[in-house]
Amino acid sequence: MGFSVSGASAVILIGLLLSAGTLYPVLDHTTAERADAVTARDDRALRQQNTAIADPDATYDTASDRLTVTVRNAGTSTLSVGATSLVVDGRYASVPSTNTSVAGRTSSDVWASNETVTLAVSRASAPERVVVVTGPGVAASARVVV
Amino acid sequence: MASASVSELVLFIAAVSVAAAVAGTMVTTVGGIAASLDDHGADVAAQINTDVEIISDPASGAMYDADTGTVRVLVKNTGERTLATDGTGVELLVDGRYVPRDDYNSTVLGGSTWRDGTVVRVLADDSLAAGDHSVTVVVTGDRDTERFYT
Repeated sequence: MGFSVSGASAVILIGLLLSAGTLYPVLDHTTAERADAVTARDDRALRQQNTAIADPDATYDTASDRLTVTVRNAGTSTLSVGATSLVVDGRYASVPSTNTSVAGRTSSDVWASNETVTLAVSRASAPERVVVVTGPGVAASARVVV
Repeated sequence: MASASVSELVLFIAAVSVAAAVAGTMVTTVGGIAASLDDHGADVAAQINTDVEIISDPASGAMYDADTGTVRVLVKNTGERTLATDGTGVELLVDGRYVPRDDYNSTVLGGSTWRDGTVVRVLADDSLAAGDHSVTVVVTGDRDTERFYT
């Protein structure tokens, strides 16, 4: 009788060990994955809090049919020019990297604090409004001066 | 004496068989739970890493084209991961009404994939009366709403 109980206990114990061996790595991996995601979200929120853009200005040159938009990085985060979007009269405007400059530096992606970025696009007619949206989603709008 | 040994052997086999059945069921069940936990963890991480913003300009009047009855929304990926635009990821609500997948299409602007920093244009067929409206975009659990007027 005692031998039966011992044998059954040993089998159950092996089952428990196998179950724990299956569950533990998954729990560990899931917890780490979630923790990484939460850390990345906190970093993103901090970056967004530290992002501000100011003095948006949009000028349309009728002679060259060119719209030039300038905006200053008024926050403490360094922004990416490539991740910055331009919306002209509610429509997305694709700005080639050759038509961007930061504080006089052409084809630079680094838009540091207190530097002004210049974005230029060709337009057949004068638009009315522009919106500049930074990578973290902070935006500024301006009326176009012709 | 021999009969006692036989009955003990029978009891032993029975006990070990029951224990093996219990242990086997337990291992299988825990394996299933582990697989579900793994999937759930990946889903939660994807949800946390997803962030979108509607960057359309409501004052421009371009969010609704009355001639064609089209709602135009620009959505920027401000999260950490590349998102799908094939209809598995983007859901659209206009004035709180769900817009079926066949009634809108999404196009990545300035690229082929909707990676972080890039913009997707969503065009939805929906006739709206003059007045105030709202549009909500839901992507992997993250949502953003923009109000506009027609």
